Amino acid sequence: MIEARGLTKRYGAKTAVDNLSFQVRPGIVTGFLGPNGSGKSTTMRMILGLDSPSSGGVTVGGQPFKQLANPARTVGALLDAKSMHPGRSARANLLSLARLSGLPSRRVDEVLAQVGLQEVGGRRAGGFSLGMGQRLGIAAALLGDPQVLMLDEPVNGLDPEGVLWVRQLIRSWASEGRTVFVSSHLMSEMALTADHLVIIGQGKLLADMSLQGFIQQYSSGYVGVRTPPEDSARLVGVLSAAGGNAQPNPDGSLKVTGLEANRISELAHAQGIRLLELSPQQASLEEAYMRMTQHAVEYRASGPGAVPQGAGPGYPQPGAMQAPAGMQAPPPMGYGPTPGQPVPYGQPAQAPQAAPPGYGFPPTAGGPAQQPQYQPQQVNPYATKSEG
Amino acid sequence: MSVSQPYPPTYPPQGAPAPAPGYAPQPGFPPQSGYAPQPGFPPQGQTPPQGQMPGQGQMPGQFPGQPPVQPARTPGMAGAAERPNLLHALVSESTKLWTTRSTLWLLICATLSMPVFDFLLSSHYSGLEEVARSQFMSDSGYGGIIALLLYAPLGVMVIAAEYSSGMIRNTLIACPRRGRVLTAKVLMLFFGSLVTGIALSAFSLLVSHAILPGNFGDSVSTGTTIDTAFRSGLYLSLVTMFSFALGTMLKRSAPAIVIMLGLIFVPFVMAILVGGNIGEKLMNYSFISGLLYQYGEMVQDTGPTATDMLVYLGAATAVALAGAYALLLSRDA
Repeated sequence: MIEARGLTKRYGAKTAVDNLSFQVRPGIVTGFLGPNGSGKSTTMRMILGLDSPSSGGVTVGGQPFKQLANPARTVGALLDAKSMHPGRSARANLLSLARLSGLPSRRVDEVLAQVGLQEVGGRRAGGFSLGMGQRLGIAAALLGDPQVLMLDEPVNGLDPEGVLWVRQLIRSWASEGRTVFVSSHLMSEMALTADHLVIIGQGKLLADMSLQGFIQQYSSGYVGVRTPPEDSARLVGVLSAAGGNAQPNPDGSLKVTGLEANRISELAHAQGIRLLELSPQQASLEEAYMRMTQHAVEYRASGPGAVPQGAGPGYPQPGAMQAPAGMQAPPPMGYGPTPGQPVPYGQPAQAPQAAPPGYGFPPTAGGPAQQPQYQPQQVNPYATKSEG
Repeated sequence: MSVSQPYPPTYPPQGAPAPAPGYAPQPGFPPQSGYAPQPGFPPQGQTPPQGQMPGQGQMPGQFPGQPPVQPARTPGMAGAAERPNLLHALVSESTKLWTTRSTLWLLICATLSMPVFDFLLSSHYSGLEEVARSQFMSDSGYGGIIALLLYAPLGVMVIAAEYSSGMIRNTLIACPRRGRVLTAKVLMLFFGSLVTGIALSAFSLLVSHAILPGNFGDSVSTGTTIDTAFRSGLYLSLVTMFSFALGTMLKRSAPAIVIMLGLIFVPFVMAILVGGNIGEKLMNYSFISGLLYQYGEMVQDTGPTATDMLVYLGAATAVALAGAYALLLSRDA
């Protein structure tokens, strides 16, 4: 469990991290995204006590990192590969860290085996390839068998097997109820591993929501609808009246946002309009991310009105279908101090991100805490389309 | 078990007892036999299939809210709940010192160069008919200058290598109590350089004495020789600590080593070039003179004594170390 409250870091006049508040909860994989220079690394360094925040604070397991009695058992971190003494062997590098943390030296051989470096443990770390250095860095993070795993670009330079291995590692770590906080620029990888996203831009929190919710909210997901040409105008009217936004495509079909396919079908049926095609389309994490980043750039350039067309709320959940009309208006982005989070429309009130501080690992079987996370999977018929 | 346990009790206990023999530590990650990890699919079916839906928070076969099936922790962690302290940091630093090639090369160079230098100097004198009985002391002292030039970079490298390689981040993540890390380094480096410095000085004196028995003048007592070895070792150690403090403050090896060598050489050379009153002062208080004083060489009636120089150097080192502590504790790593 990592909890940042009003985390701010200034370098002179430049504010690298601006009033960040978020939680990284155990039991799930939290992805940390942001463009280059957005303050991801600085945030991670502040979590680990390497940089001290200008204001605000961050705790790991309820305590500031520097005050942890046994930090290696609590947090394992990979900040950047190659942060090992190049003249020392991989084994000696890990051994010095194990000794410093009060860990037995047999742990070194265990983690070397775990990352697949046991046969090159005696070689100088400076001679390692990028991928091997990355494995060594991950080995260092795993040394203390920590409860919280923080990885900055863990699959950087890894071969496909290594990428798969890291993905499995991350997922199994989370499935054991531990906390995983991982940053990456590989959106496809994030889409496969992350459950929850914390996205920052220019040091500010842009989003703190589930991966599914993020894609829904920020992607240009829409429903493709095709009707006989003579019914098209009538359907547009019906959909608009129901709160949807229908735009004709060049081929005569309609691109509908703000309404779910089921609902469109119901509306059309009620009006006796024949549908020739009804196909939900959902974008990838990459598209959603690019859209958000683009938005950030436009926001800076031409003011808050410059919202990319179609950045509507996507598909609200069925339970929220009676939401007031006008919900297709682009949601306000979470710029600036965001005490809460830009919660997607239709998120259940007990959604994880609305959890009170001190929210911990779901206590027992059937605990409600993780339920909302998976609701979209159960009720959203489009979820399978959302593969990154 | 003294591990802080900030997680709710449902969290699996740490330091679980070692499982039965043959137990794979982590089902998802069987110990691998080759360099390339075998991502093979474990029997438990915990591997996410390719194309798993994003946002699906769990492994297949696991349900929301279900307490995760918890394999026993890695057996190597059993009983590893020791709360780290300064002793661990000291052991870690000694590991670092002895597994770094530069340290070993430095000691080898010092061990070889001091006697070799002695031998070259002494063979010059050994051709003469009359050689003072105390001549071996000054020869050793000149050899000590070589050691000075090796120990100063060592002190810088011990800390600057951590910064240049990025290891400092791993170190400070493993031990966020920075004062402890620095204290461990200071203790390890001080006693390491003190012991090796004394041993090297004694060795050098021994070699010089064997080459140059001397045939006139006052003989040097064994006690004085041993005293000289200790003083010289302490002086070398203090110089090492001073350069270590400089390296900690500057974080970078090249500037720190350049400054250090400048401090060693420039006053000495300037003293020779400038001469006069200022030159005399520079000469009296230079690093090199200070070392030679320890061997009973060059001591002026008006200048500082050998002990004075040790005290001054000790004070300067203490100030530099205080600065190093202050900066390390306050600065972003």
